[in-house]
Amino acid sequence: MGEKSEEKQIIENAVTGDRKALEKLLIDNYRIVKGYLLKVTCDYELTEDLTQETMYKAVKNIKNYEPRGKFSTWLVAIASNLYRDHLRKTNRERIMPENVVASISAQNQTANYGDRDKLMQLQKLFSGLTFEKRAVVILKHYYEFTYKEIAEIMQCPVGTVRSRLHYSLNRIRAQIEKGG
Amino acid sequence: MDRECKDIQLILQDIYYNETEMESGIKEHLKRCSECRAYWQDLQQIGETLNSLDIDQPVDYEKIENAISRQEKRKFKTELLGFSLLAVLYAFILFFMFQRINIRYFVYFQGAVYLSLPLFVIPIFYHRRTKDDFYGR
Repeated sequence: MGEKSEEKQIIENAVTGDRKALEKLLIDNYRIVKGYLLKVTCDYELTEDLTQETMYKAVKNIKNYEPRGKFSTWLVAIASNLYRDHLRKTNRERIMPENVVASISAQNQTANYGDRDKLMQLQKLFSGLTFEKRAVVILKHYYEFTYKEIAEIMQCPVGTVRSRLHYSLNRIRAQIEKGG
Repeated sequence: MDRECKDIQLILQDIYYNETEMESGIKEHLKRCSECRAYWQDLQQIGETLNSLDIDQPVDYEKIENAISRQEKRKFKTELLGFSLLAVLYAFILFFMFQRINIRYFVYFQGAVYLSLPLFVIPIFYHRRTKDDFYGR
């Protein structure tokens, strides 16, 4: 509880123009944003770009930020919108492609070997899932957002979050079984 | 799979992800339904698989610094533009007056402008004091 009100205070300071407070907020939530983007895009380079852009958007729009719940919810929503824009611009499929092993190693030259291997497996697990469905799994599983928070981030009803998660988990289960 | 199991499995998902508590009714159902028991175990297995694939990313302070300085530069540019426009406007007014109006009024106007300059010290001082405020509030 103390932690929560502390974040609230820092947010208040950041919104009214305190640079140090804003910096702290971004540092504290950086891992969530980048980890989320990396897992949802499975693309190292794109993640770097989108993370930078998310940070910039946050700095630019902080004065319009209305505190409702966690700050990370807002940042992740920005990141999601940026990724959605990217998909729209590049006319890319929202669905993670099935055959990925070849393309992903080319995409992820900069990642180290362990990470690259994990990314490849992750992309395999997520194959056939749309961005919205992947995002729900990642936000729920790795970052423990509540259904309500995810609904806010993805701008959809809570029930949809729940059923998307259910669908995705079933799909991932099938992938695990297929992969042995 | 019957309707009940379908609902139960959704609830199991909620329980696994801490959205709701395990109730005795569900426990009873798990005892007698092997399918839902298997689903409960699958949830754990999916969880472990996903956990093993987590990739932690270190904080890149440079990116945060970049974002902030980019915004600062943007604000600086806006301010510079504003100042330039003001200066051009002032020069224009002076030029206009010089051409059309009695030289005496021209001198009065200049005097009024210069005398009012100290009034700007207070807002400028205030602005400087909160110079961490780079959003132009």
